[in-house]
Amino acid sequence: MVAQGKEMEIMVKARNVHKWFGKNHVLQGINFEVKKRETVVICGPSGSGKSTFIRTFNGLEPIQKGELIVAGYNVHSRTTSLHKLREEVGLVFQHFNLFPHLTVLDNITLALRKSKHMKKNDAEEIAYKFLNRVKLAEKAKSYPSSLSGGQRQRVAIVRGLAMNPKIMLFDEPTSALDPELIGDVLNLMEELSNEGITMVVITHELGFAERAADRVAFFNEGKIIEEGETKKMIYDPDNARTRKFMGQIGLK
Amino acid sequence: MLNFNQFILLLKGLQLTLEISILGMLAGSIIGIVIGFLRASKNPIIKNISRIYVEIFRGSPLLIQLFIIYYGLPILFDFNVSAFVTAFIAVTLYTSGYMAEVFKASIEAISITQWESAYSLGLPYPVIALQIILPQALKIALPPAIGVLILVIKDSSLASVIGFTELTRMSNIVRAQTFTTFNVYAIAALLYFIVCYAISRLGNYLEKRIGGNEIHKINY
Repeated sequence: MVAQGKEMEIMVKARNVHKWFGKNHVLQGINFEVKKRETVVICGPSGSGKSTFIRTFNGLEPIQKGELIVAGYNVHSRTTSLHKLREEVGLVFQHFNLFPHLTVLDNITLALRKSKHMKKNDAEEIAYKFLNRVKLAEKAKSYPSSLSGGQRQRVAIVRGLAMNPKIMLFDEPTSALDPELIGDVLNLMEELSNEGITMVVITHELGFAERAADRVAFFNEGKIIEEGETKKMIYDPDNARTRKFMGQIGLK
Repeated sequence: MLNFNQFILLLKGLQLTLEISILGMLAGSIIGIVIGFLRASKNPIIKNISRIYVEIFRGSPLLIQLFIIYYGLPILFDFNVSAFVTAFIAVTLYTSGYMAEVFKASIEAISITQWESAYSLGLPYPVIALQIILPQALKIALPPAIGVLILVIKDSSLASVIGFTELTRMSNIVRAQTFTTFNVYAIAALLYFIVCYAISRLGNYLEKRIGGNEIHKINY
């Protein structure tokens, strides 16, 4: 029972995960683990497979080999319900991906109503709770086109949070934002991390990593070539490739 | 020249032309939406079966489809079908072939990221298709759909040969009464033109109004 209890505390467990796009071997045997309440930052050069990797967590990208357990679901198994898995895994995209024809409120409540089968009033209550939190309640009836990039990304984050997922994934959430809009989004993510929400974040914002991340994993050419405690990874990584990369992106 | 009553007859023909075209367009669009989603599917079997449907109804003349339905249905089912029903079925199937391709292109014009973020929220396929993709696809489909409607209004004149008294057949009837060939057809042509031109202008207006926010070109 104790062992099982400990097993429950692990939110992501990837063992020898492989993926190919045609002949391109994009994930080359990845081992990775995230415990409950942890925040893990993933960084690495573009094309290294980090984005593909976190997209395998909710089955958006299938894997061809290995074992992948996320929020208690065996993602690679044919019998796993992807709908159920996805209710437990929030994913925030670089380009927000809000639904442009729906109001902010409907963007948030649609999945509560259609995936979780909540009543409209209950769903809206939850949506307003989160919108108040990010100070966007007055935008509830607005369309995404009238929001700034930073506001859109905060709506996208609360759209995921409102589902009450076991883990939140962020795929370069600030890369598409103007520099002056990044702060609000990073502050929100830092708060969530402090509250104990389990998070995996692909980002090159090392300041955020230093404040919020328990660990940093460095991706290169389809592999995690180094992983460790945040400060060490930023200031004193062992691997020469990691050191060069950290030096290049620098700490603001 | 035509007398007033004869002109009224032509207008009645025009009314039937519009009825058959609009009803056929609506029914054909509903089928076209379903086939369009199948055409945009990643599954090669679904994609190809739906492609065959489109090739059949878009790749054969409406006149032949009219004949097959007009002469075929009574043989198959042992009952006579009215000219209106025959024309409606034929125009619907013909239109559905065109609209399926319009919707396929519109669905594929919507960024794959809309599907991805909808799937990531655990939404089931029917909800994604009807509530996320379709509303956006309809806006993109509007200008080409207007083109199809104009095509259908003109092509519905073929239903005159199976005895459906739309504008073209009505023109024949009136010509037989008046013996003034040129006048009748000139007026019929003018009526077709006025209707098609008005629809075209309405389409431009709607396109400007709806397309104003350029929804599918920006990241949200």
